[in-house]
Amino acid sequence: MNFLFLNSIFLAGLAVLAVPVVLHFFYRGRRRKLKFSTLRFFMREDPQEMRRRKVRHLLLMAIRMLLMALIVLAFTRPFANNSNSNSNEMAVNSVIVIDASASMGSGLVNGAWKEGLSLLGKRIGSLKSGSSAALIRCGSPAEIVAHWDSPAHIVKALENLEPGYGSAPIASGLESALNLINQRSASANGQANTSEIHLFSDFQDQALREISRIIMPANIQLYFHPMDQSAVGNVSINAQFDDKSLPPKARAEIKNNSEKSVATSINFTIDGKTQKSLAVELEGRDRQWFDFPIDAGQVGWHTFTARLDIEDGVDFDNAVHGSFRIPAPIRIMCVSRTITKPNYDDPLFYLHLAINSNPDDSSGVVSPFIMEFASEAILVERLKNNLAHGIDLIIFPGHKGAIPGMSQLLVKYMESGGSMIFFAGPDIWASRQNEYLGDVLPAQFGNNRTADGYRIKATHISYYDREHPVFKLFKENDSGDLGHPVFTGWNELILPPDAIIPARFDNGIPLLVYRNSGLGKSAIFNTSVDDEWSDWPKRRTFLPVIQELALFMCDRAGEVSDWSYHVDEMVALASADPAGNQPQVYTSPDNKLIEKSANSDGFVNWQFGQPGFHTVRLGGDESAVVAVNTAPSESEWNFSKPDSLENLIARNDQSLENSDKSKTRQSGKLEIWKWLLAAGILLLVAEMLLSNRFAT
Amino acid sequence: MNRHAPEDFPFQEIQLIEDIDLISYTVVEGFLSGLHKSPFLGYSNEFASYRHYIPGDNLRHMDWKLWGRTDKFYVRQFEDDTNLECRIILDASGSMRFGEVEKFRFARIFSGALSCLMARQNDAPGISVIGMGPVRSLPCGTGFHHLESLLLLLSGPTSPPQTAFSRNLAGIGETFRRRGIVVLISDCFDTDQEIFTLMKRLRIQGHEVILFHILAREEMEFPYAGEFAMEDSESGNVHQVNATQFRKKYLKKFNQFLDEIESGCQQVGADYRRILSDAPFDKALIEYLEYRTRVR
Repeated sequence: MNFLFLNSIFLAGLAVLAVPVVLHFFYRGRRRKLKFSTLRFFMREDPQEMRRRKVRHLLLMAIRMLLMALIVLAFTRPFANNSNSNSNEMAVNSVIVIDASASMGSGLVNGAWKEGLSLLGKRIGSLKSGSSAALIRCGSPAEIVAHWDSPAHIVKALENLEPGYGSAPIASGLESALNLINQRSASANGQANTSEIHLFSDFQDQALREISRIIMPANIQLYFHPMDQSAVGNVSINAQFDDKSLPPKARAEIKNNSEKSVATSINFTIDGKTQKSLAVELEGRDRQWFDFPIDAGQVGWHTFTARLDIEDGVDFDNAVHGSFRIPAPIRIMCVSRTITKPNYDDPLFYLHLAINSNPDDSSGVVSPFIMEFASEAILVERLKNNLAHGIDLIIFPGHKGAIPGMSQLLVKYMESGGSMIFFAGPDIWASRQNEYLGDVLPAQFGNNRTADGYRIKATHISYYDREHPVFKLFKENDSGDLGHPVFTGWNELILPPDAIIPARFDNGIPLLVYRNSGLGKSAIFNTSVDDEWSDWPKRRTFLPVIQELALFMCDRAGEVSDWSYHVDEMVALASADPAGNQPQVYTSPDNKLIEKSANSDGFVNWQFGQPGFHTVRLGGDESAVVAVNTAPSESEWNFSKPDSLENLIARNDQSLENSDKSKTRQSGKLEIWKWLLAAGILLLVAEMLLSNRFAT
Repeated sequence: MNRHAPEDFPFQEIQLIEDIDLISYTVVEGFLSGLHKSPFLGYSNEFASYRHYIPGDNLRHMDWKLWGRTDKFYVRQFEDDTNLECRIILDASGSMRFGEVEKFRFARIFSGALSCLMARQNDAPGISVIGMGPVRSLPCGTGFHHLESLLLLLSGPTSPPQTAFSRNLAGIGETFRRRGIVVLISDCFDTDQEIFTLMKRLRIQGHEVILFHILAREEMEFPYAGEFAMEDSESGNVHQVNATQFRKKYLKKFNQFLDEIESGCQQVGADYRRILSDAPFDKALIEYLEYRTRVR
């Protein structure tokens, strides 16, 4: 056992012990002289008493010096390092937990990783014969690299370990270690072994988040082996894909996690081609944001990368990747006698504005919709000839009649996945529509009503389902109030049992009603497509509702366009072949191929272990490009000291079965500062008693 | 020597004056200007003769029987009526040389004032200064020149203490011819029983004995703290003392000593008066004389 000090600098305080000695000799010959009239009233001391008094004074001085020494030593926080606890009497069960998070990668660059593993290896290699060891790689999740085996085997397993790119919650590593120890103790066959855990980590704060839930038995020794990151500087970059803005953009955040200022540059590429390069200067602990517009233009998969031109402690966060998919536009056929682009006084003007909201083709932005105008006859013709499969959505902007036989064609169309929206304005010939389109309409038409100012009042939208994909965006602040538009006309509707009504007027009449039909849907929008029955088309809430409705009807609502994930994040991708006959094929950034079949839910679960672009063939000809980055939390360059962890990890008094109960030290270190202070307090009491007694 | 001190002489400044003559006269003038009658009356009961009454004589001594017989006024004269001998024995030993206001200085001034008072009322002061080597004495006498000699003795240069006060006390009483007043001015540190022996003998001889016990405030209060190497003013011995720790014991012993001296004086029938050396001269004197006037 050897004694060490946590705050050895306080040992300099022992110099204060010289002060009472110096004072003693200084004042010994320097008593003040005082001439007094007579000494007859002062007791004469006999020489023996004088000697006794001198001894007492020396004893008091010694007690005071010892008291000061104890206080100084207590400040140095000495501890008895039980480094050889396992070397003398008994065999040891030793679990090594290695933090393999991305931040530990700096150790590969500066050699601290190898050095740390080497020291651990020596430690394990010197275990008493009969000892066992196990190795856990702390990642997400923690992984047992080697079960209980001889120390030599574990040392060999240590040599091949390297940090990964993900996060590593220390708590899960310690939990795994405790489980291993418990299993070992349970099968100990009456042998009492000491159990210990060695933890090699940089003790990054974000990795310690759940450590307080660990309850460690009192007799398990816990050793911390820190990898020092204090001298390692780190600049990181991460980015978010913002598809809500127009055009979409990538917002990159650059953070300087070190104290020194840095100068670097960012290169931004789309699909491998450099778009922009910017010079950046950052003070210590500073951060800046940059927006990069993404003008990809083409339908399909696209990638972007923002890379820092810098060499720092770790490189996993010097580049951030993103991938996104621009889906093919929804093809809409608007049944209308007008086949040209409507002008502003045309009833279809507002619909055209809503669907084609990016009329300027020079923007380079792909509109999610392509709308064509066709007459009913052309529609019927195409439906008959099976040429409607390229049309995702048919919009009837409100018309009086219907061609006989069209209903069956529309039913077939919807069964194969097509959808339909019917705008029910004042032009609806209810009985005719019911007769000819009753099979496809989600509700039957009744009488229409128009507000007359006194008996029939104008109405407003009073209810809409905020969780419904069509209306979800109105949950956000400043997204508009659907209650503002005024409706002066509507149709009474006769609803079937399976009708779904996500919005109503305040008179109870549905605004929007739809039902599923085959693989598609049909919907009635119970208002005119123009401003005849409401002022809604002129309000800002009209456009997003129409667009969201169109997306919803074509099952495109909530379609993920951003395909960026973190390392070790579980990603479930829908299989093109849920039956599992055709597996998904995955290609890693380093061109490794893996095949996986779908689970019973029709999804394939992937966990990507390295940053970069990963390709997953979804089925058929389509391959998804998945961008994987290390979690931004790994770039948070804040670390804790091991001795502060002592207080975070709770200990209980329950010892492990069959473990050596006689050794109950924590962490292999016996901190004795408390004993020093207790001894100091006792000495203080003794000094007070003695000095009072000597005064009498 | 200025015998005619101004009536408005500031008494509080007397402490600063080295001229003992001046102080003595001033104190006495002050006392007498307050119309204090001298309490030092002749107390002899031995009738000596008659004399004619002079206006101002004390009517107590008027012989009324003789007036009844003769129609003339006569006063009785006693043997010691106008020649009361007052012998002052002044302790000049080492312990008297102590105090922020030195006890010996105070004692000299006090002795001088007392002598002036005696002389003013035609009594015969005398003095013996013990402790500066051989005893310096001036026998009792009257007259202006005698007083001047006495004051000169008091205000003359002092030599360092050489002898102990107690050593020379024994022979003192044998030089006194007639009964009178013996005033002892001392701190009594140097004596144990010698002083009581002397006082007792003097009382037996018929003398009136007064002990003025002069003490320094530092001796009374012992206002010291810390470690000291204390030197005895008499013997020169040095003793290590922790004043803070010793104070209580010192005060106990000291007060015990004071009680012994006072009770010892009471036992032998002597007057005892304790005076601190930093007290105003006139106040100390006046207080005692007023006390004496009440008692007598």
